[in-house]
Amino acid sequence: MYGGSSSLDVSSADQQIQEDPIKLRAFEERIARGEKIEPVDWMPALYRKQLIRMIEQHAHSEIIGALPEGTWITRAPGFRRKLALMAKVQDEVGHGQLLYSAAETLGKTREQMIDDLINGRSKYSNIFNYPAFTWADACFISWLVDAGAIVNQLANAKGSYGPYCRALDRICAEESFHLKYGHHCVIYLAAGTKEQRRMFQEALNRWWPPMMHFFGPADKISAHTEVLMKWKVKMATNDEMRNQFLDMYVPKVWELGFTIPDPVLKKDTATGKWHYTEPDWEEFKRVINGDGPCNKERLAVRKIAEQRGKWVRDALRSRDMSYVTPLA
Amino acid sequence: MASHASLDPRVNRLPANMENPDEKIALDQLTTFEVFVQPKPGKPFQHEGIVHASDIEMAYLFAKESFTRRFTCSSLCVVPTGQVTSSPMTEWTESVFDRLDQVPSTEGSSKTYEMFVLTATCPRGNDRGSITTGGHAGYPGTVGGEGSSECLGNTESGVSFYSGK
Repeated sequence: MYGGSSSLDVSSADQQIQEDPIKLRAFEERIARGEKIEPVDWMPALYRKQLIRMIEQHAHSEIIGALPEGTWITRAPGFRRKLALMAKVQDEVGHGQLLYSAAETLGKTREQMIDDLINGRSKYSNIFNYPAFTWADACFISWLVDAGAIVNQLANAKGSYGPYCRALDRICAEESFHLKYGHHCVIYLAAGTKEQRRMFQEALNRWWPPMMHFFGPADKISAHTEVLMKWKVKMATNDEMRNQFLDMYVPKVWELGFTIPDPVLKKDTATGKWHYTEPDWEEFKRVINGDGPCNKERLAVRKIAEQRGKWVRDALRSRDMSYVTPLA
Repeated sequence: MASHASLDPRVNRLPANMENPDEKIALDQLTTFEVFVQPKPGKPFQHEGIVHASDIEMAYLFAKESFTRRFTCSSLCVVPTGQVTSSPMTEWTESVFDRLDQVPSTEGSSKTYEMFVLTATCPRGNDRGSITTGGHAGYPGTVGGEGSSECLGNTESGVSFYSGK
C-alpha cells in the first residue's frame, strides 16, 4: 500500500544542468522510447535521488501500513477473516522487502533506510498515522486504501526504472487479491444489520479526509514535477490519480448505499473531473510532520521490533560476510 | 483518543521512555543473494531480485517466500551476490566479446558456471546454459554474443537448485 509521492522534493533544477549533456540526452531518449533504466546504466544524480526517496518511502509505507491492520488479526470476526487478514498483512510485509531491494540497487543500503525510518528522517504514507478504531476501519483500509494504492502503483509500474517496475508488477498482482478481500468484507457489512451498516458508515466518515490526502497535495500547491514526469519517475499528477480513484470507487460506495461525507462531491460529466471540497492541506502538513494521532505509536512499534530482533541479527552475522551492491 | 491508551496492544506493553535504537552497524541486515526462478520446465531461469540472508539455506527460504508464494515455478535458485561476475553494460555500441579482458579471471581447477545474458528486449538475465572452464570466469560472446551484458555465477560455490512440482 502506498499513497502518492507526497513529499517529493524537487529542490534544485540546477542539479540537472550540471549533468553531462550528451549522456543526459541519450538517457532521455531511451526513456522516451519506453526502455527501462537498469542499475548499471548511467543516470542523472537527481533521478537516482528521487527514485531512492520514492521507493524507500513506498517500502516504509508497506511496513508501517501493516500495523493498523495487523492489530485486527486477533480480533477479526471469524476464522476465515482471520486467515485472510493474516495472509494480507504478510503480503504487505513481503512488498516492503521487495521494495527495499529495488531501492538498494540504487546504492542506499537497507541499514541506512531502516535507520532513517526509525529515527524519523524518512516519511511513509500519511494515512497510516490515523487509528483503526473498529473492524469496519480495517475493512475500509483493505478495500479503499488498497484501491488507492493500486491506482498509484499501476501508474508507477509503467515508470522507467526496471527494478521498481518489476517489484510493482508482482505487488499489483497481490494487491488485486487484497482489493477483492476488502470489497467482500465491506459488502458483508453493507448487507448486514443496521448496526453493521452504521459501523461502516462511521469508518467511512473518519477515513474520507485522510483518503483524500492520500494522493498528495493538489497540483496547484505541490512541487514542480515536470522533470520527474519526463523521466517517468512520476507517471501521473496527484490530482489525476485522485480523480481516477474517485471515478472508480465513488460509484461503488454509493452502490452499497453509503454516504460520502462531502456535500459537493459530484462528477462533471462534461469534463470527466470530480468536484470535491478541497482537502485540508494544513492538517496534512501537520500530520506528515509528526503531529498526527498515531505517528509516535507507529514508530514505537517499529523501534521495539528493532531492539528485540537485534540479538538475532547479531547472532546471524558472521565475520567473513561482505556486502556487494545487488545486481538488479 | 487519549494518548496513553493505544488501539495497538503492543504499544500499551511498551516501556514508557523508550530510547532511540542505536544506529545500525554495517551488515546488520546481513548479506545479499540473487534469486533466479524458472517459471516452467524447459524455460530459462530468470533473475527475480534479491534477498537478505545469513547463509544459502536462509536465502533459499526467503526466496521461496518472497518470489514463489503467489506464483508457482518449476525451479528456484539462489547465489551469493559476491559470487556473480558481471560484464559491463555496452548499451549496444560494442560487442561484449571485445571486453573479455575486463572480466576478472580466477585461478583454480575446472569449474562449471551458469551463464546469463541481459538484452534490451529481455531486461532480466536469461539463463543460456552452463560452461565448464579451467578456472577462468568465462568467455563472453561464446554463448550469448548478441547480449548487451553477461553475468556468470559459479554453480559450485553456493548455487542451490530446487526441482519442484
